Amino acid sequence: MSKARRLADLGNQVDDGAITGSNMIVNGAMTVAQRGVTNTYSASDTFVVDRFFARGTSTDQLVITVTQEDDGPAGFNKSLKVNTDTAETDLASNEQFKMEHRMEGNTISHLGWGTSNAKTVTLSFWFKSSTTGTTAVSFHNQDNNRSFVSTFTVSSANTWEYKTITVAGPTDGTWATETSIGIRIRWGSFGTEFHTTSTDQWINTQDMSVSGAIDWSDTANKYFQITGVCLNVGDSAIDFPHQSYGDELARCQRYCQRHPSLDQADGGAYSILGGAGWAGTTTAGIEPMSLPTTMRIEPTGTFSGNWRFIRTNTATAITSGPTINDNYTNVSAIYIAATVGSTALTAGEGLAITQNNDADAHLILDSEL
Amino acid sequence: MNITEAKYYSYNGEIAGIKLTLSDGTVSSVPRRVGNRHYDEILRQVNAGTLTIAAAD
Repeated sequence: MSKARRLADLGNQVDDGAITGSNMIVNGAMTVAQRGVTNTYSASDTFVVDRFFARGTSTDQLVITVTQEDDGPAGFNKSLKVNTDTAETDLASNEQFKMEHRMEGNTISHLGWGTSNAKTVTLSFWFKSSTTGTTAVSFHNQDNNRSFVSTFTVSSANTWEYKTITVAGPTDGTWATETSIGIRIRWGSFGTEFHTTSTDQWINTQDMSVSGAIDWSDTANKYFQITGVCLNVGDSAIDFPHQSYGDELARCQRYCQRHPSLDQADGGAYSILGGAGWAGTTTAGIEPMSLPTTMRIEPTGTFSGNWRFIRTNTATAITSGPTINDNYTNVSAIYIAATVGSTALTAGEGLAITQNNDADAHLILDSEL
Repeated sequence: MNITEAKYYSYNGEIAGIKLTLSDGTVSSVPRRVGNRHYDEILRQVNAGTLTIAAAD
């Protein structure tokens, strides 16, 4: 085959999207949702789709629901939707209604941001909104003292539109390159305190939008949806590099893990959690659990539902805990501790923790940024 | 992060973490590790004088 022919084939493969680049965004196609498919903003950042969270900051009446939708433009089966359930009567100057993606410093360290060798990047995404008009996407460092605001237009309501934003790498500012926040990317509606007229350039503030931008918080059932989020090196967007579900799940598990998996098909209401443990006393047991992916930092553990110890063919309900013992926990393994209400255990005997006739009992490990 | 309570818990007489209760009722085990976002927020609120970590039972 001639060189010209090989080059022509290569060009066709690029045109077909068969050859693409690397996406620094984790879960940009919104396929992984370990915490479930719907959640309402309440006491903390509201995650549904992994790695993207929604939040109202300093708001008074605002209630928002975040959902993973079976809806997307051609080539995408899933998207993230942020919907206003209860409107904010007045988005005050210091109030925020936002969705954010936080990138780990390790992921962006090669960009050289904050140095004279800072690389240009391009953000691309599909966006759908109940409301037309101008809105913005913004980039920030961990300390929120560098920001880059770029506007884009929603031309048609309830219609998927493709957007690209090219960002010249900042040559100053502090940009984390290890396990803390490297880059924050935000979409949403923000009070006047966060508005700027200096768009498409780096500024030394925490500005996130512009005057006259769409306010999704002012009316119930206003919404926006997003998918296909990609951040690549260079001054043009690459074709979205789709990952297998397993590969994307593994990337997400550095920041969140659900055990047993939401995708479990076996185990009924008695799925095991972790490996073999032992009774330290007649009332307390401990169980080590190796994690499938090394997490960013020692995780917070949130147990839901009912649990029990299984030991010598006997089940004993856990009455306090489970909790995670941080003295023996690291980024690749945790120690789970729990107690029972009576002296039912035999010190030194082997045991395991399983769901206690509760198919929805689960553990969320959180090492989000 | 709307924290209702932060309280140490122990295992076999040794402090083993912080029990964090949020205003929506969520209860979590937070490791004492700087860089964990929940522990960092607990420390931030403690340093601001708006939160005290209760002793373990």
